[in-house]
Amino acid sequence: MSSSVEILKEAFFDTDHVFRAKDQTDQYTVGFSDNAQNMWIKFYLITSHSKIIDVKYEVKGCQYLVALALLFTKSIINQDIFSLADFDYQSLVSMIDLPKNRQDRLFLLEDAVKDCINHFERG
Amino acid sequence: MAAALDDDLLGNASSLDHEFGLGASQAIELARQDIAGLINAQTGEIIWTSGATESNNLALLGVCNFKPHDQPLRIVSSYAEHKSVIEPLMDLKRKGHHVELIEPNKHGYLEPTSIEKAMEGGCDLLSCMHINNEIGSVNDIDLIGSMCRERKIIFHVDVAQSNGKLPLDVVKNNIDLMSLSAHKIYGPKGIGALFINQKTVGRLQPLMSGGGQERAIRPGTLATHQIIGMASAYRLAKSSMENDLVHLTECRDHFLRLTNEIKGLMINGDIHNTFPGIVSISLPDLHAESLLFAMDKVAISKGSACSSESDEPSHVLKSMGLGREAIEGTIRVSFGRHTSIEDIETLTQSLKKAVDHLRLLKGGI
Repeated sequence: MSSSVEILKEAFFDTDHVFRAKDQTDQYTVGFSDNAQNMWIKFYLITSHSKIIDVKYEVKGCQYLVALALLFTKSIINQDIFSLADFDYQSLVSMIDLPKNRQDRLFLLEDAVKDCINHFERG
Repeated sequence: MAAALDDDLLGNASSLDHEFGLGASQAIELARQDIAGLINAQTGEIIWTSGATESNNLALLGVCNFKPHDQPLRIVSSYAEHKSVIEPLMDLKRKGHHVELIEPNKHGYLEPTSIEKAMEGGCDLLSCMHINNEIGSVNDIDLIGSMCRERKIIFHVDVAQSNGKLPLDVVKNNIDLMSLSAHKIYGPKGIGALFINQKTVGRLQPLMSGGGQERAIRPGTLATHQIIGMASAYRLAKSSMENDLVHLTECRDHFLRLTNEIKGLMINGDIHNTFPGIVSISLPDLHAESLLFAMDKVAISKGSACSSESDEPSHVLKSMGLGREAIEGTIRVSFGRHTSIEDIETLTQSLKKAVDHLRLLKGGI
């Protein structure tokens, strides 16, 4: 079993779900959020009805935010988009041993997800 | 240092009744000569402390607390100082002393005109650092010292970054108080010293009480092994200072040549007035913390090691007028006596790889 440091490192360097220029923007439901420290995250969700088929992201921030983006992405594929409103963000905390003074990064995820749901609802 | 932990020097330097204590005391006095010799001070003007942070606290609080309470002092310093200067000054301000902090110029050093202006309203004590720990910018302590001496202002200099690296002369530079550290020049951590000019300052109010060591200005049993370690580091630094400076300049210039092609990279400070051992660079489109995380096999930092736990933007970069994005994307690269040209190449390769990775993450590639 990988340690939290290894998970953090692997997730930080994993670029499989990073949004690329070749990806078609109009296929996606997009959600964005940023904070005063110039960190931001943008999710791109492909859905079929309300089921999430694929997720891409772009991110700028500390290593924890980058790793959270990937871990969150992997955990929501095949979920219903409306179930994200109840997502247990604390489950990500223990995976990478997220320090207390970095836990505000979870708000960024949460806000970007809310933005995705809003865009999805608006069609 | 190892010898100081052997039986011969294991005695308490304050216990002069037996040979072990005497041996330790003699070793400490020899070490004091080494420290004094590097800065052209008298041995009696050197007080051992735990490092530059304590020296800064002792210098500033010690001068102000030595004066009668009903005589508030006027102190001038700058926003670019280390926290171990700024925070004691804030304490003094709360106690009724007048503290004026001036801003450095955009390159991170103090302009004589700003200092002169701040002195106009009256000044009893001026405190500044020699080399800035985040930028490497160098203050002209020779000029500032003469400005202070003309006006009979006590001049305190924090040389934690420059001791053993640049020539220092407390007489020529008109310095009254000087904070010294050991670990920036390969000495042990946890030891430093404060120079107290006997002619102009003489005595300070101690921060602690309960012992007569160090003329009761800094009571407590002296750490013989640490002191000997600091003196050895100073001796080595003195003999290799010129070569070190040439080597650091080569390292810095090589680094700048290799990183020149990184798009958007900004160098903070004026390259002609910065110490070559420190280079501060900003990549405003990236986040410094993740940049460091992405770099392999190198030990570089975001800014000051003393503030690295904090999520707050650097007060030094802020005072130089850098915007939030540039501050968040700033890292400090330091070179040392043992840094090789191969190390610089490893560092720049690692930096370029990290920049590419982070730009891919944010959709820049």
